Amino acid sequence: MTEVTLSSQWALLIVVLFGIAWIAFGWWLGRNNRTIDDFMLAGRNVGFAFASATAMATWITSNTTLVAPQLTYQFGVWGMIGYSLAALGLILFAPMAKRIKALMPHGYTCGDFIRKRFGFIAWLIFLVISLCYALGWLVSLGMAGGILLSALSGLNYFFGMSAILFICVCYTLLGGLKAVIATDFVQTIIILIGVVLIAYIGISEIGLETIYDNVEEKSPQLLNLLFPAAIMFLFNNIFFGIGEIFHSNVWWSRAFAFKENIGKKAFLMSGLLWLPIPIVTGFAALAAFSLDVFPPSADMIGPLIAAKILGKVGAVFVFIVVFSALASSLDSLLAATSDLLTKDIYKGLINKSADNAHLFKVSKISIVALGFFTWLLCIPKVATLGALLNFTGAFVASTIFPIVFGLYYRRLDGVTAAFAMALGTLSGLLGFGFIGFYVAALFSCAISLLVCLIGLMIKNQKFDWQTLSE
Amino acid sequence: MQLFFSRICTKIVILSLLLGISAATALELRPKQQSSSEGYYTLRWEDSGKEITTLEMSPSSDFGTIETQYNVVGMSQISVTGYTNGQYYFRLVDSNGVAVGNPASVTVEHRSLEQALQLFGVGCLLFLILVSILLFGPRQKN
Amino acid sequence: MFMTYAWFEFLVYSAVSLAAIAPIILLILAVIDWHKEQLW
Repeated sequence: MTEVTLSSQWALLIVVLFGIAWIAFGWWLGRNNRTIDDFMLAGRNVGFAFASATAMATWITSNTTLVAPQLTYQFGVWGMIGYSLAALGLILFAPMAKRIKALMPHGYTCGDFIRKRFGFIAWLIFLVISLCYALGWLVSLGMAGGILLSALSGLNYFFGMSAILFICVCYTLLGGLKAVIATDFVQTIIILIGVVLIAYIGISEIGLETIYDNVEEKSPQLLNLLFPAAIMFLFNNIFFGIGEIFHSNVWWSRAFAFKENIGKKAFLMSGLLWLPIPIVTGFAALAAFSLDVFPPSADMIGPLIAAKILGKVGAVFVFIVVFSALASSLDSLLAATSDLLTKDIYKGLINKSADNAHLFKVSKISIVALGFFTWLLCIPKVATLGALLNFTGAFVASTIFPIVFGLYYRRLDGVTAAFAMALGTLSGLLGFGFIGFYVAALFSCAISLLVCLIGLMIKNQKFDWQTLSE
Repeated sequence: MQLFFSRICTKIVILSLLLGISAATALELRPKQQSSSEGYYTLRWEDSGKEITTLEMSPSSDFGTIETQYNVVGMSQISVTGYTNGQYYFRLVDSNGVAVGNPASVTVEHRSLEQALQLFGVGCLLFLILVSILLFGPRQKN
Repeated sequence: MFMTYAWFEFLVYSAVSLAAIAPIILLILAVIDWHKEQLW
């Protein structure tokens, strides 16, 4: 994008005001955090409203505001429908959340589950997958922060990226998961009002019929329901989303943190509320043909159209929405990944005898360390790092079936699970290389299912569920 | 995909520099030839000081009929989308309506629908398996 | 097989209206939880 839409003074003011507000809020929420359960899991007692909002806000990332328009621009109507079906990840996690809480009432991370259920080797492979994904997501969020804030305003990349990381690290550090969840609630409301407002202005300024007619005339392929690559993309995106949610500690930690009997309802609600969002943010991309503006690269179509339609006043909305979307995911990811580092890497590998008071400190240190490490990786602004997240579809989709079979069937053993994840990832990467990003997750998921089924046929481990609750 | 693509492009640039075909004199529309299986692709050019205003697309190499004109004022790269199977030719035009630099051609050949539907079927099957485990899977109590 | 305008309109309008209701639902739920002192 070449034109700057919001003056840097305004942008700076918004960043500083929101920064102060979030950090003060985080401090206020965290002032009563006494134990590690308070800090990591918000006291394991989160109610329905907060639970639904946090799951939803975390799933609305910079990607929902950027990639949904991009995919609509590239794949047409299937692009936005396919992207919105990523909500199925949240919806299908609902019954799992209930199962997880029932099986592991005292659990902390998804790593706990994998280690107890499948043993050391599978746990190591899982940790590699999970940390690669978390880091890819963190870096892509940090970079998106810098790139977007600089595209929308005069702020430079380094400042935007540093500011968003600093603010998120501060309030997560001060308030733990409570701060993450409460800020998520406010951010969800802001995001929802923002995207609806932007869509409404878009429709009333240009007209939905004009948008449709121009696409039909100039680029009917985007309305084609038999668009091959887009059809391939559809289920791939569903499995990418399911893989992201099923394996990631971001979601497991929420399953542990939500009050008894809340998890299932909350994930279901958040999925249903999330479902329309990619269509609301995505359809505007099709206005490119009416406005006669085309982006230098496909991922900039969203901000470009928004700036064109909304002008300077609207740019404030876009800026706030994007800033909230980034923060609501970044904080969750920081908190959940630091739990993984504390509980799995530190307690699991380095200091097995650490007590909870000690882990409490380690958990705070790892939030800062993780934030700093992400910041370092974001400084060079290597575009390929941002694209790293695309690769991870191959990784995360391989964990879906091992986790699901592991949660519901005693038969599946650790060796099979390890093979399923490793071979699934490998075939996903091959699909990525030979066909395209839009088949990686599907290949990965299919192969890992195949391995799991073979394992279930030849082996019969009678796993004792009791082991999990210890 | 984009990652691979941009790598290939960098390779082309490096290669052309090595061979001495640098774009010092003429404006170069890159890549000169490419193919796309999805109907979207990116074209780049250097800002050479000539005032480029439009990118023209024609289905014939002699640019007899211009089908689409993209407004590219101030840009040095454009991402276009929604193309169906076929051969397309592009050229840059300056503010006087004079074509500058080389033409570039793009071949669009979408993936086979049959293959796509097979993958769709596989996806459907996997999804049904997953849902049925989650809904009807055994619930051994502790 | 192309998506007709009627479907396109239905898709976009229903998505926008659902998204418009969402914050209201969340706020109502929060008020209920707050009232029952079950936010946390």
